[in-house]
Amino acid sequence: MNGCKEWLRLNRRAFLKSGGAAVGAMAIGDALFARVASTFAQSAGGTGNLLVLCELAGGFDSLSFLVPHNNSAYLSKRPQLAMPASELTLIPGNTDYGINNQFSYIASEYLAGNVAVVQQVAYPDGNGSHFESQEIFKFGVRDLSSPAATSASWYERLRKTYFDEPFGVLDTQTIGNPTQYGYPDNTYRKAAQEAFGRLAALKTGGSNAEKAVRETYMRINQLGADLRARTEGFTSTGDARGEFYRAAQLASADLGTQIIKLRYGGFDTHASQANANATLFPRIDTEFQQFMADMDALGMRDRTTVVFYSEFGRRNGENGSPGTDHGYGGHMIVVGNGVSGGLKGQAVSTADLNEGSLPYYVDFRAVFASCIRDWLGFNPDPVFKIEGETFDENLGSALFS
Amino acid sequence: MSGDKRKWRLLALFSCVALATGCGVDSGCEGGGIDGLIPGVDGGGPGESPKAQSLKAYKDDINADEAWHLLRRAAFGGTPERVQEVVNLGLTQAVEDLIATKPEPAAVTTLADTYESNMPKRWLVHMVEGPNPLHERMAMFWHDRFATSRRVVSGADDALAVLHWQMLRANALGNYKEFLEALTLDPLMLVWLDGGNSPKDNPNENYAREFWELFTLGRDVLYTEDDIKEGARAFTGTLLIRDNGEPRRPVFDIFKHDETPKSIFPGRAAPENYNYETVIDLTLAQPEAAQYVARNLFKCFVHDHPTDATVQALADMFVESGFEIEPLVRTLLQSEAFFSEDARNNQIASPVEHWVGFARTLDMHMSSEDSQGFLLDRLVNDLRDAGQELMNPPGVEGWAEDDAWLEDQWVLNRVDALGRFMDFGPNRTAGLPYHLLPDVSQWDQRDVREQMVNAIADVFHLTLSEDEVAIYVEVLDQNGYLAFHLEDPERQPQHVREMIRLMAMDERVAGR
Repeated sequence: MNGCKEWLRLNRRAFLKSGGAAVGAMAIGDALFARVASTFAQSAGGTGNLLVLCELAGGFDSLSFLVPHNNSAYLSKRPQLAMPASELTLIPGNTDYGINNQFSYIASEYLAGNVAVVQQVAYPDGNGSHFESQEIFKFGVRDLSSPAATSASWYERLRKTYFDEPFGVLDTQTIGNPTQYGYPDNTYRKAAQEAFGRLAALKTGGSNAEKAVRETYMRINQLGADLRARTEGFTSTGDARGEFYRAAQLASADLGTQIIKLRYGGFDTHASQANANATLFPRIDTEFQQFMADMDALGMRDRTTVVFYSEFGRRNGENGSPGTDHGYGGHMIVVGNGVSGGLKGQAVSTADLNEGSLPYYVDFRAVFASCIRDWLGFNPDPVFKIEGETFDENLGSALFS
Repeated sequence: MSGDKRKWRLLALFSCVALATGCGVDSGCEGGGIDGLIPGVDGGGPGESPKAQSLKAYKDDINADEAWHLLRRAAFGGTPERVQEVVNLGLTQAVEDLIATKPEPAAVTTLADTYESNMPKRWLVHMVEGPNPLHERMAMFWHDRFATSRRVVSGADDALAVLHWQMLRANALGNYKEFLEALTLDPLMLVWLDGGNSPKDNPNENYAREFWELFTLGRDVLYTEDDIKEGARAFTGTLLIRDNGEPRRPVFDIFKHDETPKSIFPGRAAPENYNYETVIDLTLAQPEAAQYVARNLFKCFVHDHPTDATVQALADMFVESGFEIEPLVRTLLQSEAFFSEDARNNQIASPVEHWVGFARTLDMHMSSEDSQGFLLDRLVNDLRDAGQELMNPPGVEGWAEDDAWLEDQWVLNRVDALGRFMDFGPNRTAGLPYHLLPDVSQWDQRDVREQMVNAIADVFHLTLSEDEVAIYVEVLDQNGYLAFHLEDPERQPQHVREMIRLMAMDERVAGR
């Protein structure tokens, strides 16, 4: 059986590295290829599971997600923004906290035991810049001055270390609509699009720069052909067409993808935060629910974990606008059937709320490292312990059951 | 000077001697070499080609391929006629011709000025239409080095982006010391890196840090965190003031300057009461400063692995000339290293360079008919989506380099940019480079399609294999040759357009 897997793996690679003819054959949707794709991950040593990274860009207000509704410090610091228990799904056995019902789906999943909320997560020496803090989360390092550490995101490093093949990590933002991905060509029969890949595959030699350009073209060409062919038949369970829909399209292609990255913006709620959240939160919750239903329909739900994270939390106290400014610690939300549900990390205390911002008790890399180790089945050290970087790996309790 | 000791110097807006006359601005070397990416293959060191480090003058009678190399590196490219002109001139005269500032035709200036403070558009007009492509190229080089964004200003201050660009153009081949002084007092820079808001009792370190790290010495070269603190004090006193409704302008106010001694580079210089001018002098007195410029210019024009000896030879020349940039560029463009194998086809052009080179090589032109911006609106968006918006760099460190340009989505957006001229040329459907192609009346003849392919290939100096020609012909002929006739003039140019921009994506055209 091992030998068989090895054979499949090599053939898959041969497929991916070969020219347009092989791509054309794959486009027909051969069963062999699908089988190869779904077994590839295991043969590379991982579990073959899928990790979905959902970035909530702008600074997600964790106190509007898991609300300490009774806490006097919370109530006094947020006279206009504080939420009452009636708008929350209270945490069983810990009713001082409740999940905002604007996340009704996530709340129901929490009650079903499929949601871990890792509380008060960040990294040492907080950085209030969106840009830099987002980069810290992206590169998975605290020190952004290292060119080596910041040449690729941590999930790209993961891919290159363990499953170095083109579909291992897909980002919905860079791919856009996968059914139209590839060389832009508006002419009849897409002759130029097809020629683009053939021309690149035809040539050998030249300078390193020229080779690098051609390799990029071939990669684009194959990625495009495969994505177009393998996502056009996707049917969603719902009508939403946001980033989670794109993620479901990509997952449906069954191309051995282990990480899908997506991003929702709009969380930088300096003003009129309640109104902003009332639109944003239900939208994401609904689109996420649709995604999980899609994964169910694809038979992939048990293999899927979704992590929500943000570059920082927001201030404990509201400003006069009324909104909240950039803070520090925040919660990460991990959802999936394989997740060991419950409140993790450090519960938000009155002392924490008396600070300007939530402090941090858990390093965000500890969460991602657990996902890599316990969900994807790889050793996270080569991904995060680079260029002299270290971090506290303590999570308090296990994220996965 | 009146007895009240108030002696502050008002600094005029730099000699923004309106470059209406002509030098251009442009990007630095966002494209860069990636030799060494694949170890053991034409990287530096033992495997490098003869003369790869030689600064001696190359032979004067260069051939067409060498002229094309010179034009691509120094002038974004050029038409076949321009290549022949360079061959006829010989290397020495051709380089002098590139360096000389030629008056810009009034029509070009007028068209560019239409776009007022919309710098990406205005600048692109100068790059494509202007007579001084090397100056544009050098301004772009400095723009990448001294990366500054127009996004930090608005309203009346939009004009600051224009002033910044004119400052880059005016100094691009000039004196480096004067350049750094103008840069330090540039109003957009004073906003961008907070130099205009750095009180002497609590100075802002932003400018001092980037001045050394990015502009003059390089990351972790010579300066320390203490130097940055002291340097920030030296750079105090530069202010921005606003007269009602006018763009802000820079002044140096000695009363806002920290007049106490600062200890900068303590192992090398005694503490002194440095100000923005004398800290520039102090910096230029350090050998690392000349080396930094020499190394960057060499890497921009030649290849990515100059030896320390090569860098030092250039740096010595730079110091001896009193920090004149022009002689350095002249030496590089005429050097044996510039024409060595290591320096050929080893760089990936940035999106702007790629597109400008495409336009200049195919002799395609902006038109006043486009003053509503049909072309430029889309073009600026395409180039932004391809990773490069002029006057809005992704950060203080400028743009991506080398193979970092090869992000899939960025590459795909280049294709869109390349098609724009043909969509929005001076007369819409006339936007194809008809002057390079056989007469339209012959396009329905079967054998003319190979001629069309080869005509465009010749302009790009591409030698195509039979297989490549066949693929391009298929693009021209996607409905079968019988469909390739004149009955549907709207559709027909689409085939040709696709063939041309596909060829412009060839790695030998996207590179340089």
